[in-house]
Amino acid sequence: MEEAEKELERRSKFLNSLIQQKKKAAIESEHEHESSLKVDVRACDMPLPLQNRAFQCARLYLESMPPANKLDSKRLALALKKEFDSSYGPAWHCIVGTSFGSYVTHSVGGFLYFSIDKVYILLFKTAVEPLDH
Amino acid sequence: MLEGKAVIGETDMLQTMQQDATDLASKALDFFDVTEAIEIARFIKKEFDRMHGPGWQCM
Repeated sequence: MEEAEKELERRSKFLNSLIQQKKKAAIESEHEHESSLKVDVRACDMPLPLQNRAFQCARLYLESMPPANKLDSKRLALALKKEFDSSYGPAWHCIVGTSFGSYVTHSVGGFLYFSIDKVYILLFKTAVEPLDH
Repeated sequence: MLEGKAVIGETDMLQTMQQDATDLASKALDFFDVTEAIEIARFIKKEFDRMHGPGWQCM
């Protein structure tokens, strides 16, 4: 009986150590991935929750992309623009690229220019005026 | 004046405005070095705001 208990305890410890190792490995790989997709805010006039939403959205897109694939800038821009239009109302504009200059007029609290993993993203909001009929 | 023909990719703009845009781009490249992207964008945007009313964006 005592032998069986000892064996169970030994197995339990072994399984626990395996679980701990797996957790540790998962955390390390997560940190590695995060550092490989480092966000750098270049210019900003936007509340923090909205900034984080933009980073999260860009990260998700870049992470879901197969490593060998070339970045589809247009699709990332579309994803961010649609996300912000639906969450925070029209009209958001998004430019994604590795080399561009810009000069824009934006609504108060609606401007973010950041880089993530060598990709530069400009996201800004403009007021929408109804068309005169 | 800069030599070379402007190529229009996609447009939804009056012909006259398109002409203004290409003329201003050409003018901007006379004033600024091709690497000064922000200055070129600023110049075109400001001129369009002045000529056609506020709210223009330029990349």
